[in-house]
Amino acid sequence: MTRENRDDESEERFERMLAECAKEPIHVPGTVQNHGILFALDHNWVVTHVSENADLLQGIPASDQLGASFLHLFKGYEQELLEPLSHISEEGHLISLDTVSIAIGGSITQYSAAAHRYHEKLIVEFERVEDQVLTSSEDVYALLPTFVNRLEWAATVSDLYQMTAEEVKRITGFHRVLIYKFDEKWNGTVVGEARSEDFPSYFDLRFPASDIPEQARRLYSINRFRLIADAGSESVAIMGLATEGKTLDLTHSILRSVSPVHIQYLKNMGITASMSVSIMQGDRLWGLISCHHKVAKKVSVNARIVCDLLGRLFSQHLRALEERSVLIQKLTLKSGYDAVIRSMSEESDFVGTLLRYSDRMMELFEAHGFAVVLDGKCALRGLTPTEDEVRALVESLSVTGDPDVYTTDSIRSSFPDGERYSAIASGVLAISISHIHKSYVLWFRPEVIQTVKWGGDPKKPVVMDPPQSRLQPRASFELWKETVTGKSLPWSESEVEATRDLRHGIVDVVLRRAEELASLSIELERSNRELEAFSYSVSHDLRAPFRHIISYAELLEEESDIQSERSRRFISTIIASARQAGNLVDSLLAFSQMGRGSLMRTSVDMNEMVQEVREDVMRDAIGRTIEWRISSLPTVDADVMMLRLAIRNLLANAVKFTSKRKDALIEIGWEERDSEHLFFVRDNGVGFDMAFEDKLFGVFQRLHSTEEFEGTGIGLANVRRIVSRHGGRTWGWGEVDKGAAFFFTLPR
Amino acid sequence: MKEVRPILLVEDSQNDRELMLLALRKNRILNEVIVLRDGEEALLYLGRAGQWIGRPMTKPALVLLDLKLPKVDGMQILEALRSNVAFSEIRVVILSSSGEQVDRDRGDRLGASSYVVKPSSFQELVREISTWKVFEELVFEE
Repeated sequence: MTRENRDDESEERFERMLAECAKEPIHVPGTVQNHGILFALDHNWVVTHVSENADLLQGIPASDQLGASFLHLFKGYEQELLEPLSHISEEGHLISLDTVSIAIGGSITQYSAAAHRYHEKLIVEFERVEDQVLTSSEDVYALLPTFVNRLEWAATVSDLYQMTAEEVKRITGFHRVLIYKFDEKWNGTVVGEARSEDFPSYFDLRFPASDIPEQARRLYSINRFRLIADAGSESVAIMGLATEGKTLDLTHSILRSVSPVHIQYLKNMGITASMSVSIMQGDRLWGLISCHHKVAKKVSVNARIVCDLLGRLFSQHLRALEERSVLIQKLTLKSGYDAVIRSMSEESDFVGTLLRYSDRMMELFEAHGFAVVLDGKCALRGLTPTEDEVRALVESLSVTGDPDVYTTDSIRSSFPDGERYSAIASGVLAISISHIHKSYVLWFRPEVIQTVKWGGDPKKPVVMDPPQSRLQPRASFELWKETVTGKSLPWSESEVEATRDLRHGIVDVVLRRAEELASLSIELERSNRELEAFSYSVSHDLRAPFRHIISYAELLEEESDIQSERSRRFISTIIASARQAGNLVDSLLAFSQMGRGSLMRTSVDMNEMVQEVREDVMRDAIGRTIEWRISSLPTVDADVMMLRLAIRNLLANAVKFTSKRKDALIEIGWEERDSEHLFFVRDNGVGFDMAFEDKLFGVFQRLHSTEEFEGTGIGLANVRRIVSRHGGRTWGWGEVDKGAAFFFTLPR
Repeated sequence: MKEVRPILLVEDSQNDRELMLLALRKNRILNEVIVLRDGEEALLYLGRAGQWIGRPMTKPALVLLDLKLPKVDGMQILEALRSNVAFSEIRVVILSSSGEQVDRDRGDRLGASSYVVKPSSFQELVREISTWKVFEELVFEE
C-alpha cells in the first residue's frame, strides 16, 4: 500500500468522522476525563455506574464497587459527603460539596466533590484538589472585587469583552482567554482576547457554525462550565450494571470526556487544557469565555464558581451595555438623520444636501458606499457599484418586496446581477423616495470577508497532514469564509428603523415642497388670470379714449372756423400724441401676451424668416441704402409668431439706429455651439454705452430720446422675453457712435 | 326700388355712436340707423318688447355690434340673433376695441359676418365703411 493510498484511506475515515461529529451523541460518551472519578447511584444508593479509575479513591477495584451500596463504600464520610448528598433533590443542578479527605494506605488525599441528580440518577464526581489552581475560597473572593470594579468602568461592549478576557486570564492563569460570540446563524467571532505573548492572537478570527454543532451548543447552554484538563490523556471508561448498560447521560457532568474531533482540534492549536464558561442572554447561548492552556491544567471547584459568576456578571453588564449601545445607536442615528432632514427642508437642492452628508450617512449606517438616485440623477459616494449597476439595481428594486425600505445582506442571492459587485456591495439598504420616479437613497456594505482583519497565525505553517488539516483555526476560518461569501454584515433593526424614519422625513420634505410648488402654481395661475382680465380690459377701455381723441381732433380739423396754421399744428400734435399713447398701450399688451400664451413650436427656417422680416422693416425705410450681410442660417425649433416678433424688433432697431449713417451696414450671423445656436444682429449705428447694457432689455427703457429715435421702449424687452421663453439667453454689446450687436441663443 | 331696411347700431359709447353715425353719413349711406345703447335694449328690440312693442316686422339690413357692452355683452346678442330664425341670416359686423384672438374666435364660432377692430382715427373709420359698398343691403347715395 502506497503512502498516498493510506492517506486517502485515512482521509476518508476522517471525513466520515467529521460527518459523524455533527451527529455524535456527545452527552453519552461512555467515558470520563481521567483527572476525576465518577459514580452514578440509583435511589437506593446502589452504584449503577462507576468510572474504571474508581480504585484510585480507596484502593477498591471499580468492578467491586459496581452494584455496591455507596453508603457502605463511604462509611465514615457521613458528614462531609453522605449527609449533603442526601439533600440533593433538584434535577440537573450541580452542587459542590466540601473537600473530602480520603485516607488510603496511610496517606490522605483531598478531593473536591460535586454532585447532581439527573434522569433518576445521583451522579457524584471526585477530583483531586492537588494541582488545582485557586484552591482556597479566600483567593477567589479576593480577586472578585477588582473584576466587579472594572466591569463598572466598561463603557462599551468592546471594553467589556477586552476587560473580561483580561480579568479571566488574571484570575485563572490560562495562557489565552477569548471572548467568543455567536452571530444569529451560529457562526463565531473572537471579539475579545487576552493572551500570553507566545500565544498567537485569535482576535477577530471567525469560525463556521459547524465548528460548534447544535448538540454541543445545547450542552453549553445546559452545563455552563466545561473543563478539559488534559487533552493528551486517555479517557476512562464507565462501567455499568448489566441492567443499566453504558448509556449514562453526562449532560451535567463536569468530567464528561471530550469528542476525539475536538481533542484533535485542541492539539492542532497547540493546546492541552481548555476551559469554557457559557454566556447566556436569556435562554440563548450568546457566546463563550474560552480559555486555552499549553499544558494540562485542573481548575478547582471554587474557581469554577467564580468563573460562572464572572460569566453571569458579564452577561448582565453585556445586556445593559447592549441596550445602551442600541439606544446610543438609535440616538446617534436619529440626530444624524434629523440634521440631514433639517438641512434638506432649508435648501432647495436635495441631492446636493444628501451628498454633502454622505460621509455622515455612511458613518451612521456603517456603510462603505452611498448613492442617491433622484429625479433621473445618480450620484455615488464611497465604495459603490458603477452608475449603470446602481441604476439597474434601482430598476429591480422598484418591483420587489417592501416598497419603502429594502435590505439585503446578500445582493447576489436577490439579484443575479449583484454577483458582479458582491465584493463591494453585498449589503444593500435602500429607501424609496418616490415610486413613480424611481428615486432611491442607497447604502452599500462590502462583503464581510473584505473587512475581517484576522490574518491567522503567521508563524505557524499552514500545511499539516491532510487528515487533520481541517481541524485548525485557519481551516475554520477558510470554512467560515465559504459560508459567508457574498454576505455583508446584516443591517440592524435600529438601522432599518432609522432609514424608515429618514425616509418619512425626506418624503415629508418632498411632499411639502410639492405642495408649496402646487400652491405657487395655483397662485401663479390666479395672478395670470387676473393679468389676462386686466389686459383684456385695458385693451378695450384704454384704447377707446385715444381713439376718440384722434377722431374728434380729425373732425375738428375739418371744421371751417379753424383754419389758422397754429390751430392746425395744435390739432395735429394732439393726434400724434394720442396715436403714440395708443401704440404704447398696444405694445404693452403685446408684451404681456408674449409672456402668457403657450409656445407653439415648429421648425422654422431662419433664412426665410430673416428675409421676410427684412423686407417688412425696409418698407418703413424707403429711400435708405443699407448693406445687409446675412449668413446662411440654420433651422430652429421655435414659436414662429414670437420669433418673428423678436427678429422684427432686432432688425427694426438696427435699421432705426443706423438711420444717420450713409454707409449703414447690418450683419446677421450665427454660430453653432454644444447645446445651442447663437445668433447675432450687428450694426454700425449710433451704438450705446455698455454701462447701460442692463437697462436696454427692460420695459420702457430708452437710451435715446423719442425725438431722436421713435419707439416705445419695449422692443428689446420683448426680444428678451421671447428668447427666454424659448430657453435662450440675450445680451448686447455696444460702443457709442461705433455700433451695436445683439446676441441671443436658442437651445438646439 | 328695393326696400331700404334699417341698420342696427348696438353701441354703449356715446362717442363711438356719434363717430359711427358721422362716418356712415360721410359715406352717404341712406339706410336708417336704429341706435340701441346697450345689450338689454338690443334684446328688447329683437324681441319687439319694451319700447319696441309693435314695431314693424322689418328685418335690419345690417347689425353693427359692439362687443363690450354693459349687462348683456355683444357675444350674447350675437348668440340670440343667430338662434332666432328671423335674424339668423342677417349680416352682423362685430366692432371691437381690440383684436384679441379669443374674441375673434368666439365671434367666428357664433356666426359673426365680420370682425372689425375699431379704427383708431375717424378717417380710417370712414375708409373702413367705404369697403362696405359690397354689402348689397346697404344703399349708398349716388
